[in-house]
Parts: sequence; structure tokens; C-alpha cells
Amino acid sequence: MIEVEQLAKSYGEFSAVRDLSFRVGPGEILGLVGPNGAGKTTSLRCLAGIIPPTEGSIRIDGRDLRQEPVAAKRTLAYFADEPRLFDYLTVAQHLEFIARLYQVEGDVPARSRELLAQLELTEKADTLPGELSRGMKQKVALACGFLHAPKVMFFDEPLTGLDPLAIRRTKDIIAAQAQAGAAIILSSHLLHLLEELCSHVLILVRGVKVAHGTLEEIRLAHGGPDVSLEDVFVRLAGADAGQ
Amino acid sequence: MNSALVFLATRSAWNAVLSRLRRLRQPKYLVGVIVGAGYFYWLFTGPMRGGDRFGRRPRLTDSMPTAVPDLDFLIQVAALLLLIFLLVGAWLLPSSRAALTFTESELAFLLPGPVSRQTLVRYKLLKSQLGLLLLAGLFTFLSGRQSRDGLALIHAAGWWLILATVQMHRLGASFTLTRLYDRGLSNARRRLAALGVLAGLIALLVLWRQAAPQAPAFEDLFLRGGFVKYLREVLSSGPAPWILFPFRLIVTPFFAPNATAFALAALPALTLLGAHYLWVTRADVAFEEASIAQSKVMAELAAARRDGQSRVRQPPTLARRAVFRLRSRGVPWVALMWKTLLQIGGRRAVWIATAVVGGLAGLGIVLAQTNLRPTILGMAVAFAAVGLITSFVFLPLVSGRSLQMEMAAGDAAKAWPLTGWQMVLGQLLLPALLAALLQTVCFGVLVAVASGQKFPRPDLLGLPFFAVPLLPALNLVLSLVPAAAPLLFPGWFRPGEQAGIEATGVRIISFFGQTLFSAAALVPVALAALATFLVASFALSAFWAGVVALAVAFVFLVVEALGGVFLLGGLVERYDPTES
Repeated sequence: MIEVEQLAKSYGEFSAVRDLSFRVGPGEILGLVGPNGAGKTTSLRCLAGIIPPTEGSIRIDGRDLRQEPVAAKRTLAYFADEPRLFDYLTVAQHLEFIARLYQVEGDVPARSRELLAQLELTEKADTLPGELSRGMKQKVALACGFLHAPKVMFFDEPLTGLDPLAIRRTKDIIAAQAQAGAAIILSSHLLHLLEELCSHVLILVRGVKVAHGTLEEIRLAHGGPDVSLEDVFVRLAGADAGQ
Repeated sequence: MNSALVFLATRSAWNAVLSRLRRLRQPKYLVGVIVGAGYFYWLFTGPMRGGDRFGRRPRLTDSMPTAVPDLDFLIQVAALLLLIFLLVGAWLLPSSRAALTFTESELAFLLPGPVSRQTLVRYKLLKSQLGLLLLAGLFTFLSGRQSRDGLALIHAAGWWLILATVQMHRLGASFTLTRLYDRGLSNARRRLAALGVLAGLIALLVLWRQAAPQAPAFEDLFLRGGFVKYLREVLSSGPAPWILFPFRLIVTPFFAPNATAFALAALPALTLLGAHYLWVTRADVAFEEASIAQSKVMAELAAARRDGQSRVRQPPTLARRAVFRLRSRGVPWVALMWKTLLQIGGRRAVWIATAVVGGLAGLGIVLAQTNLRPTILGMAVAFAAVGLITSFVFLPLVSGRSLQMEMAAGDAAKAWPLTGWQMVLGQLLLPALLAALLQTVCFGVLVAVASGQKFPRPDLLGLPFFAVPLLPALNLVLSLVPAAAPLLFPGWFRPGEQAGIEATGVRIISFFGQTLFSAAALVPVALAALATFLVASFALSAFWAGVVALAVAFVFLVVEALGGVFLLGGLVERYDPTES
């Protein structure tokens, strides 16, 4: 469960995000859409506790991110657009590290093996990241993120640079995590992906929420049941789209 | 500290060591580590450090038995002043928010991870201690104190105490300042406040100066050795001992003469360090965004180094005017020269270069024809010599590497509709011509200075004049070897090689290998020219025999250059960047 109340992030005089409020329940996937510079990544970083917001409150699984940052972060996973792995940790050692960092309970080796098998990484368990392709690194990042069974997940452009097969698998994985009860926020420019995966959509323009709701609600509010998300986006983002 | 972070640090370090050791299975790195180790041994113990050819050095105390106490005192004072500058500067100089340097992977895993700020600060501090210990060891080596009195460990530990305290103080200062910024303090106000405190201290010192010991006369102070005595008096009277007290605590362990003194001095220094540690780790300051920005800069720098560049090159913001209009019809490889000219600055750069070269040439003539002091003429000779060395030694290396960079930059170059020799000529001919221009001017300056006020003398100008046409071909030959080496042995000449003893060794081998092959390429030219000169001397005067020899050398060089361009072209066509 993600609860955001009047989130704002400013850099001096410049407001990157203003008065952003919404909530994402268990099993829901919220698509975060906006033109370049709309504040999507800034919002995601605030939500994941990477950077502190200027104002507002964020609750992750019932815990206030400002008051209980460590406990809140233990229940979330953040997937950046570019997988950044430690140069000198093997794939298996990455999972060992994450297990310790997040204090994962239960049979960690079995869970790690299961994840590696699920992501087709078993043969790469003792490989250093330098020898992995980008897609493989992305899979390692996914395995690391899933190991502690997070209840909240943030994906920032999760399909960048992946081949069609990897795109298909990543989409399936995200959908499966939602079905398992995770609350997910997904930022992407691929609007057809959001239409396919997301239960809700939030459109940001210049740091301000201009539309929020289920896909049907947004379509009905901005043109009718037959308009595409792309049409809605172009209508709302206006001159900002394509910048 | 969080045990996961301990795991991360230790496991990464161990894997890095294993990775380096496994690398030694490649002959390149095995030979590299032997040569690199030999180089560092020579650097630290050999003639560069004043030792004999076996690396033995006289003890400093042997040659200066009486001067050492004064010297130690002066070193202590200098160390104190440097320390004050560093610590006070930490409050005056920074204008940005506090930042800790993380790698991108640390940011990706640790910032969204369940790790508190305090733990992150502790992790960075403790992790950086390994680097500080290595730096302390290096400083102990460089300061030569390990051989001076055999107290290497004490001095290394002293260095570490100083470095660690400075590091923590600077970090603590940046945290405190960031907190003040967040409360509305501007940079200008902060600097004003710091300068106010400094002014107060200076005022205090001025007042104290009236009661301080009287300075001796100039002769006593500097000519009769009274300076150190006076300095001792000044620093031990008035408020000076109190002001310097905390700084002395930090540097005293380094100057301890034995283990007992060190232990006694280290106790307060460690207490001070501990206080700094508490100060830094308990400051709950938002450093995340500044750290992300800093890490991005570091990552860009690392990427630039991997590409063989020493710094991040910002793309130009202003369009440059082409030196000439490139038509769609004509010799295709001229497009590469056109592009290179744009890269180095376009028309403006050509105007500037022309003005500089013309100015230098004119200056050389003026210098030669006026009755100037030898020092000015000497400077002109030195500049010309530097220009020649640069153009003959470094420009071929740079232009040779530019071909490798072009090939390694991506698939675009390989997809161009050019043959291999066209690629090579397009890439190397322009630098060869520019170097020839610089060499001509430098030679001109040397000849002008050598001929003095009789310049221009036809007899002195004659042979250099005939030698000028050789220069482009000579430069082309010189740049062919550095260009060919990475294509022939891509594993040995990879841009942005990693740091380390073995990488240093590999670089040394590469440099000497290229120099040796370049010299070898010129041997046939020199032999042919010499033989021609000897034979021609029977029928012609020495001057004209020299001219004929230069002509033969020119033919040899052109043949070598063209042959080399075609051979290198073949290598370019067969080059597969994915195999390197």
C-alpha cells in the first residue's frame, strides 16, 4: 500500500513536483506518465526514499517514510531504468548481500535458487556483472528486488534496452507481482505498455497531477470510452509532449 | 555497522584481488606486473630518490646532523599552517551541499534500501580508511622518513591520523554548513561570518604582537640563524599556543621520536578523531541529492577514462565554421580531414593557429636580428625544442591513437564507404601536415638563433629548406606505428586501461615498443641517405651531396609512408572491435 499526501519537491525556486496526492492499493499497478521533465523520476525517487521530499508525507505499507525510513524501505523495491550492479560481486553474492541487507527470513538459498531459475540465471550464478549482457543485468536487478518479497515496487522505465523476449517476461513478472498482492508504480513512456499492464494511470505535467484514476475513468473524463491513452496524453500534456 | 555492508566491502575487495590475480594468467598482465613492479621499485628506491644504482640511499641524518632539529621544527610549523589552511578552508570554501561519494551501484542498492543515513555515513567513513591507509603509506615513502630514522610504522600511523582527521573535519564542516543552508544561511553570509571570526583572530594577534618578543634585526633573523629561535619564541608566547593547541594534537604523533612518545601523543589525537567521528555520524543531514549528482559526475569521468580520455568533454554549444566548404563530389577521405578540422575548432582555430605560428616565426627572425640577451634567446631555443619534441614524440602517438578511437567508437566508421587506406590517410594526413608546419617554424627559430644577426644566411638556410618537404612524410611514418600497434595487438593497447601495477607495466612496455619500432622504421631511410651522401660527396660539394641525400631520404620516406598506409589500411579492414 502506497499513500502519498501533498508531496512536493523543490530545487530552490523551481518546483519539480507540487501537491501530489494519491494512493495505490495491494494488487494495483499505477502507471506514471508525463512528458520529459514532468517530475516522474523525481516523484519515484521521493517515494522510494532516495531523496527527501520538500513537503508532504509518504506512507509505505502503513509506515511513514520520514519517521521510519528503514522499516518502510524494508518493504519496498526500487528498480532504476539502468541496472547498476556491484562490479566485484557475483550474481549469487548480490543475492546474499540483499538477503543480509533486508534481513530476509526463511530458506534464503532455496529462494535465491528459485529466483535465479525463474529468471534463467542459474548458470550465471558465479559470474561477475562485467561478463553479463544488459538484459542479464536487468534480470539480476529484478532478482535482487524480488528476493525480500516487497509489498511495494517502483519501476522506472523497466523495459528500456530489453529485447522483445525480455520485455514479454518482464511484463509477465510485473503482472505476477501485482497478482501476488504487491502495490506497484510504473513509470514509462510506452503508453501501450501502461494500457496493457496498469489498473490506474496518473498523468503528471510540469510537476502537477492533471489526471488520475482507472483507465476507464480517465478515458471517460477525457474524450470517451474509445479514445486511447495516447490521445488523452497528447490532449493533456499539450505543448509539453514531445519536448 | 550493518553486517550486509561489511559483507559488501570485504567480499568486493576479496573478489577484486582474485580478479587481479586471475588476470595474471594473461602474459600481458604477468609481464606488466613485473615491469610495473620494477618501475615502482626504481621510482621509490632508485636514483630518482637520491640513491645509488642499487637503491641504497645515504641517511638524511648522516649529512645534516646539526640541522635536523631546526628542520623538524620548521616542518612542524609548515605542517601546522597547512593543517590550519585545510581545516579553516573547509568552512570558507565550499559552496555546494554536503555530499558523500558513492558508486552508482551503491546508490542503486543502498539509498532505497533499509539503511539509515547514519549507517551510510559510517560505511563511507570506514570504507575510505583503506584508501587513507594506502595514502599514508605512500606519503611515508615519499617523505623519505622511513629511511631517516627507521620509524616507518609510526610515521605511517601519524599520517593516517592527520588524513583521517582532516577528512572527517571537512565532512563535518560540510554537514554543518548544509544544515545552516537549509535554515536559510546564504553563502555570502556564511563567508562573511567566517571572515569575521578570522578578522577577530587577526585583531587578537595584532594586540598580542605588542607584547610579543621583539623581532631581531634582519641580519640576525636571516643571516645568522636567528629566524628559527625567534619563531620558537613567537609560537610559545601570547595566545599562539592556545590557538595552535588543537592543531598540534593532530600533528604531534607524526613527529614522535619513539613508540612511547607516539602512544602518549596518539591518545589525545585519537580522542579528537573520535569526537569528529561522533560529530559526523550524528549529523542527520540530507546528503542524498548532492551525492547522486556527485556520483553522476564521477561515473561520467570513469566512462571518459574508459574511452581513453582524462576528463569529461562537454559537447560544444556553438556551431563552428568549417575551414572549407565540403562538396558532395570529390575525394571521399578528405571528408575525414574536414571533420577533424571542425573537431579541433574549425575556421577560428585555423586563424588562431596561423596567427600564433606566424607570430612565432616573426619573433624568431626579430630575436635573431636584434642584440638580445642570451637568456631571451635561450628561452626561444627552449620553446622551439619543446615544440620539436612534442611534434616528433607526442603528436604521432596522439594521431595514431585517434585512429584507434575512431575505430573503437562504434560501427559507424566501419560502415563508411571507404577503403582501409582511405580511412588511414584521412585520419593521419592532417595531423602529419600540422606537425610539419610546427616543426618548420621551430626549425626556423633554431636556425635564426644559430645564425644570429646574419640571418637569413643562404648557407645555413639551405639544407633545412630542402629538409622541409620530408617532414609530412616523416610524421606520417612516425604515426603509422602507434596507429598499427592497437590494431595488431588490441589486447595490449586498450584505451582506458585499469589502474594498477600491471596496467602501469603494460603502458611502459607499449610506449617503449612503439618508440623502438618507430626508430627501426627510420633506420633504412637514414642508411640510404648516409650512403647517398658518401657516394655523392665524391662528385659534388658537401652541400649538394646533402641535398641529394635528402632527396633520396624523401623518396624512401614517401615509399615507406605510402606502403605503411596501405598495410595499415588492410589492418583496418580486417579489424574487429568486438575481439579486443
